[in-house]
Amino acid sequence: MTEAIHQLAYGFSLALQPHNLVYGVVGCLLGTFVGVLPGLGSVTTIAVLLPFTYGVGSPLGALIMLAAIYYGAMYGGSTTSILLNVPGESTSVITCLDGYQMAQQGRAGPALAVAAIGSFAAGTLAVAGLTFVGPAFASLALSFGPPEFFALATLGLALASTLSPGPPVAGLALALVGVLLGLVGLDTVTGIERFSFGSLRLRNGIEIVPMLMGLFGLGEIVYSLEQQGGLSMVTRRIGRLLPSRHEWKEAMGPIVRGSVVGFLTGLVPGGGGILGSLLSYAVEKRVSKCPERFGRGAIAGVAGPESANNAAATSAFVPLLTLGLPGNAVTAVLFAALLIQNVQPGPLLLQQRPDVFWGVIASMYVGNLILLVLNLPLVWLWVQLLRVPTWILAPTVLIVTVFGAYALRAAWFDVGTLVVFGIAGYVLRKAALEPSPLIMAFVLADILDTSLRQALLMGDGSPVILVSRPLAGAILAVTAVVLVTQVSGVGRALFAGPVAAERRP
Amino acid sequence: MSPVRVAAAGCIGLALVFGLGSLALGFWAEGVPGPGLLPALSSALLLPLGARLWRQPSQVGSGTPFSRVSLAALVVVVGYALALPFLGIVVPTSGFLVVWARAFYRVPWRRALVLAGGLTALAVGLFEGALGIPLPLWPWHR
Repeated sequence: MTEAIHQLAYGFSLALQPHNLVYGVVGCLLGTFVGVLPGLGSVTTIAVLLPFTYGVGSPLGALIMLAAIYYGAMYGGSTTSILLNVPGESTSVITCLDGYQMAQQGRAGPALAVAAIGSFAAGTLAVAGLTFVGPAFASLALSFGPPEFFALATLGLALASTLSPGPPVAGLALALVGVLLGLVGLDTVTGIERFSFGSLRLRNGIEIVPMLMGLFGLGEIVYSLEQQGGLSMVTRRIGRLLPSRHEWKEAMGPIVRGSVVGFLTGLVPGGGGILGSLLSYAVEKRVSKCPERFGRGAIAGVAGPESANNAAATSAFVPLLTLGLPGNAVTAVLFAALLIQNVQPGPLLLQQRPDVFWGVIASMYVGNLILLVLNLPLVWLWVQLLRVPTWILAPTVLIVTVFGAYALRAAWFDVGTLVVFGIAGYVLRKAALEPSPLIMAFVLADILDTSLRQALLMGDGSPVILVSRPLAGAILAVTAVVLVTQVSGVGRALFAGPVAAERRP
Repeated sequence: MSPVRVAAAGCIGLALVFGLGSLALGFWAEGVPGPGLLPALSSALLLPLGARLWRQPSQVGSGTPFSRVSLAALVVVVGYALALPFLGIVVPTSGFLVVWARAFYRVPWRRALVLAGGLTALAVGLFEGALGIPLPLWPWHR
């Protein structure tokens, strides 16, 4: 524990350097600015803003900026959920249930404040947990072999594809599509080209940045053309910002419980985000003395899920940094961003790049504080942003994505990738299918492929090794349970029941 | 065709293409798993899932039909992307913004032209000036 504190102090010495502080502030502002835009969730925000990190001189600076963009985007997303009843992503759906109701009752200020302060508290608690859990995970991960990595990656995909909104069958299909697309390019093991069809650009695989911007950005903007005039913003003056004493009292318990629930679910690859928010909402409803108020403006319905969301977002960095396994679509993007900066996340990161590991953790403490200090007083600014006409905002985001796609490699091919996946993103949106499993699988494809083949080599060609090693076998058993319960509908009924009952059209 | 069916067709198509490709790559050779192993497994699992999506779109998805507006927007975006390599950034971007504002938001001409000029200048300034990323602005910069 003393060692962790010393290392954390080292991390603070890096995170508090003026240029890194600037990256943090800029990231928070940019992330909130784009995250506030209706329909653009964290993944889209990070994908759209990823090109802005190309010019950052160091991997630590880039990651600090991206992590700050992530937090800012989550805060921006909760603002849209509360004021517009438009969730930017699946995890914000829960906030809409009670947050928008609070706004309609003239309590938008307390809703926004509780979302911000709850996120800050949860994020800080989660970062404290990350400080001590992270190195322990890294030590444990050093003993993992290919069978364990294969099992974990499979569990992550199973959770991500079956817990995302939409039917599990579709989620699984999209995950498999992601695996196939992720295998395009040079085979890591043999060096043979796979599915590149002779294209030099595809030799190194499909670029994830234009793919993300297409799926989440371009597709969403095209879809939004059908929604014109459909948004109704709470236009009453925000008024009182801080909750009353009674509201604080009601929010404290959910914030603490949400932090714990979110932290634990975020540790599981594929389990954070939506699972944390859903569980937190279900827990709060169960322990509340007035469960009938949920869905009608209960402050616990905002405080708990928002805290869980933020805690899960923080603890999702544990599998990312220590195992090299992204826990959700956002950390999948951060994984790609790290690779762009020539940093390989995984068990050796702590040993080889302690500056990146501890610098990022320390920057999260700082980032949470920056968000609270900047965003609460600037609520009026974000609200004004929501009034900017769509005919200005939508093309702005679109142009930024096109320019950003080109800027990656100065290649028009990447703009083509953006457009192709933009069309795919639109189709998925129209089909009410969530693209997150596709992204996670895309990022995990190489790990899955390499670890599977290495495991089979270790087992002399027999797949029994995948289940005979205790940890790998246990994880695969859990994966099987997840798949069976989710596909059969039992799991969905358990988790989605409390939320489905409160859904308003 | 419903969006779920289009998605299903995409899944089936990818499963077939990658499945056939993995045959050529090989699953196994001399006791070593080949580069076609995981693609083959994934394609084999994807094919029945795609077929299920195709056969029962209404039970599997709750999507809405394609709209003409969005399909037209996609055509405009594709046209814009195709023009960029030949005409540089400035002309296609400005033209695209004018078309986008006029066709999809019914913005008056003057506002559309101001939007096009201003946004193009802003984006170019941001990427070239602030981020230091050179862009091929004109046709002769290709």
